[in-house]
Amino acid sequence: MALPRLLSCSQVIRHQVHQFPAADMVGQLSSLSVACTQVRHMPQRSKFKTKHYDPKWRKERAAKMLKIDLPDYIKLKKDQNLSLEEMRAKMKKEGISPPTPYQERPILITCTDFGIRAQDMLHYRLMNMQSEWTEAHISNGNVEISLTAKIKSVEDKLHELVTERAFPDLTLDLSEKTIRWKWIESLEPPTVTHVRQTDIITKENIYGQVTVRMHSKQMLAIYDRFGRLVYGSETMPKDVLEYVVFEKHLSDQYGCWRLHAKIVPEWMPRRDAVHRTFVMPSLQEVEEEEPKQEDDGSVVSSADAQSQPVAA
Amino acid sequence: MNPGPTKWPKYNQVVWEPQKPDEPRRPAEIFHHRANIKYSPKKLWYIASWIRGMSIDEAIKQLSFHPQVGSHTVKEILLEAQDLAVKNHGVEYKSNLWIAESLAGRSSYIKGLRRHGRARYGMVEYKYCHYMVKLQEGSPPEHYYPPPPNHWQMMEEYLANWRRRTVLNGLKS
Repeated sequence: MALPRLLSCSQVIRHQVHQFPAADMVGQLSSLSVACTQVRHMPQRSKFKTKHYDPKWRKERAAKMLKIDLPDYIKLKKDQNLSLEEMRAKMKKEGISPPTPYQERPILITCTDFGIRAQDMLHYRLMNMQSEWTEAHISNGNVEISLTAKIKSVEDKLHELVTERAFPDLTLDLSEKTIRWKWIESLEPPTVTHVRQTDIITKENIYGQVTVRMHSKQMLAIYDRFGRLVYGSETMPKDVLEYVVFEKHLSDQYGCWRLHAKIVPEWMPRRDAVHRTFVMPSLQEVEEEEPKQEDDGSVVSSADAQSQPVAA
Repeated sequence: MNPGPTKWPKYNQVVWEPQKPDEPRRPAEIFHHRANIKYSPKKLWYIASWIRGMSIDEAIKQLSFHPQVGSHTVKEILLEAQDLAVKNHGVEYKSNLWIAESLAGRSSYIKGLRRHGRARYGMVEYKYCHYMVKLQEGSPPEHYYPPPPNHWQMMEEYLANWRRRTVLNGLKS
């Protein structure tokens, strides 16, 4: 069906007119507009005029149709995101009892959220517990992480090499992408810059963290869903200086050193840009809160109060 | 409630093998749909066919002024799809898309009654439909459907058919 593609005055007004379903208003509105033709020149097959020839018995004819509450499925789907009060009211209306307020489920904490604690464990205590821990272990662990396949197929292996905190950083945005990463060589021997321990809930539940400075040559290429290169290069390796944090659940008999996080110091040069451009989002300026005054007279700005201390 | 198309959204989860540097760049494909629209599928088919092979901007422009009521819904769906293409599927320029596929399918109908003269009743169907669209990155092709052959092409086809004939027990050419 080849409809004409040129816009005409009548077509423009027809769009505005279509907001009103009642057929009689169409004529009134079109008469208000200037020099507009309401003639619909359409091919034979499509039928737009569905009016009955005798408008006198319109109401009676409409009354013959038995009224049904037609569901608007699209609106229902949108309304599924109800607020708590709305959900409670809906369930009360339908006579559904609320769910149990608590959910007893055992949780296993195998890593810490951030490697950021003020307490520093003595280095020698750590070494006593982990007598077989050597630097060579780190480089071995890194080589194992070299992935040439998609992330999903090596998920189980990844859990052994990487903590739960680092896992989403490695997999979340990359689930539908292909990564090719290769550790080419180490430019400098890895050095330990920081050692600490943290504990969760009880003082006996200790986690050890080690920050290692690694200067190496790596190759990274990320391809999007359609196999197009979005970041990096497969032919050009890069010299990478990283401060990598490894963590081990020391209290756990079967804990092992796993990649936990990466620290990017402020003086580090910026990474390469992604192979695409973005439209700048139009952001609204956030009004800066006035600095609060503490009891002892010192002024603490809201920004300082909110940020967490970051260990070097 | 009809679940809607099940295979159509799964096409968005396909991950292609990385391309070699000498290969031509694969265009992005975005599959979008809306299920259970209160509209007749037969009527929606006209709108779906109308925008096939158009660029996304042209399609939105045409649907804004299309006389049928369903064109408003289809325009909403196209704008949604364009937004998703940029956000989730790695399309850089939102205008660099064209309507590669545009389909209308029927959903479950609800049956009602309507009274006729002399206490006779007739069945009325309240129709629902699904609309599916595939956006592809790039500029649209010149012809979505192959155009009818012109006179020169018809002549060439005619001659080719006659020359293709085999003469039984004839000399080998």
